[in-house]
Amino acid sequence: MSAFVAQALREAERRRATAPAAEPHALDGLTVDQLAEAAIAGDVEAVGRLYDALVLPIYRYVAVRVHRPEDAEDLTQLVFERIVSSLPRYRSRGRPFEAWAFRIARNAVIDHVRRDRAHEPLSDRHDTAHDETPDRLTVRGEEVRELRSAIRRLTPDQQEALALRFAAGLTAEEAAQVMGKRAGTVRGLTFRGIASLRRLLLPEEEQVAR
Amino acid sequence: MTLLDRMLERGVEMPIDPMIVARIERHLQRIKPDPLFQRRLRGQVVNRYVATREGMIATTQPVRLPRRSLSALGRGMLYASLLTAVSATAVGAAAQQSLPGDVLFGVKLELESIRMELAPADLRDELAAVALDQRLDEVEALASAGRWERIDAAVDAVVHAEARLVALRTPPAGGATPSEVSMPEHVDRLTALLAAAPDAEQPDLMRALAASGASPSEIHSNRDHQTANRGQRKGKHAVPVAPPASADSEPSASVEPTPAATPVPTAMPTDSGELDPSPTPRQHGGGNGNKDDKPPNDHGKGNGPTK
Repeated sequence: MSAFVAQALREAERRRATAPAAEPHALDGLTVDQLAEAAIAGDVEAVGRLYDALVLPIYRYVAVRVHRPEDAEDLTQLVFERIVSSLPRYRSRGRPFEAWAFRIARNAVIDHVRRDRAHEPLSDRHDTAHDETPDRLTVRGEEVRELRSAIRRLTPDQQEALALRFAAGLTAEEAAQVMGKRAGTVRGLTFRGIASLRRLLLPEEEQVAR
Repeated sequence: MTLLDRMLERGVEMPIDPMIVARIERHLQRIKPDPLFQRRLRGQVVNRYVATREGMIATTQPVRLPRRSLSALGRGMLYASLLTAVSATAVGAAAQQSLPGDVLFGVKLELESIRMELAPADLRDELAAVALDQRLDEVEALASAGRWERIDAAVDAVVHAEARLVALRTPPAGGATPSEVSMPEHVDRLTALLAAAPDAEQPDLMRALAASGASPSEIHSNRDHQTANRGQRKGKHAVPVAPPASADSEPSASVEPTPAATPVPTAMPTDSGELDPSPTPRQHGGGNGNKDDKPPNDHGKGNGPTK
């Protein structure tokens, strides 16, 4: 990174820190469902807020399912295009908006995986950070590779349940609606998936000790 | 189902190994989209939303289009092709030009009935309106040709078309009564014919007017206006002055021709002399070949007055 860019970034950070607090907005504090309702009613600002609320969980969910950052970005873009295009046809019917949105994301991921069966070797590019030393990166990379390798040995449903509950941050009920299963089933998949990961990741003596 | 499954089914959250969860969380915390990508995508999403809202981008459609999503033009084309298939015979083609009293007029009405049966339910009232318009054209065509002896059969067809339209436009329960269904253009055309018709034929036209639910003042004012303009009108609705009625022509026994100064009743008088508030169109005569369900004839007139 050049000195000029580093200075510009520091300056931007300083301006953000000293900027006066923004005026409270009418959309502040609204839930995702309320933002979705406002967006359907034609509020452009609500669409932006909805995006802000969903972009990270959707990106994380997609990223843990497709492995490659480029694919994650492409799919995240595709998912939001579909969400916006389908927004006028969205009817809540008691289902959370997030469940509806993640169903779109899940379908996009399934389509992508079907098209792209031959996955590249696991990439740890998601897990690099600019402020880490090479040693830490090596340790972190090894840990991530182990975790990803272990996750790949779970059943597809267990992987899906873990991705929805941890990466997307959904509740068991919301994940169940996305997967088309019962909440109890999703809880079971999560519990058994974690138990399998423990067996795969922790040394045998540590498992006995625990 | 194991005990564990039963507990999970009941909503019990089982304790999950915190070390594994922490490891997963630590891994996930580091998965973040590129800030530039994130900002650029936000702009795209908002722009796309605005474009979709403004109609510049079509919303996604399901692959299997539901039946109701067929456009009006599409339905019209489908329907027209069916109609063409039905009426693409020499008889059918000839029947389309027939007038009441012609041999093929019954075929024409049958084809219309088939068309009505084939059409989607939400198009039937439109078809009934088209059919009524066509019946009025026929009455006007007969009047233009001075063939007043066929007016009775033509009025029968008008009354039947009115009844069908009223039935289709009236909600099944709690909606407008038939007399509340507005047909102002229809009333105008009939009053124009009434002004031009010989006295002997006026009861027939009055019958059609009464069935249409026109108010007495409406008929009266329209009639005066049309009478004043008689002979000046040109074009499709122009009706020539009819020859004077022959001496042996009799007015209808049930409905007297209304003098210009006398208000025209909205409804048909009953046998007791009272006005029936909800006039029922008279039954069709057998000559036009229409075999549809026919409204009862309760106004003291048979299949046509004796001419």
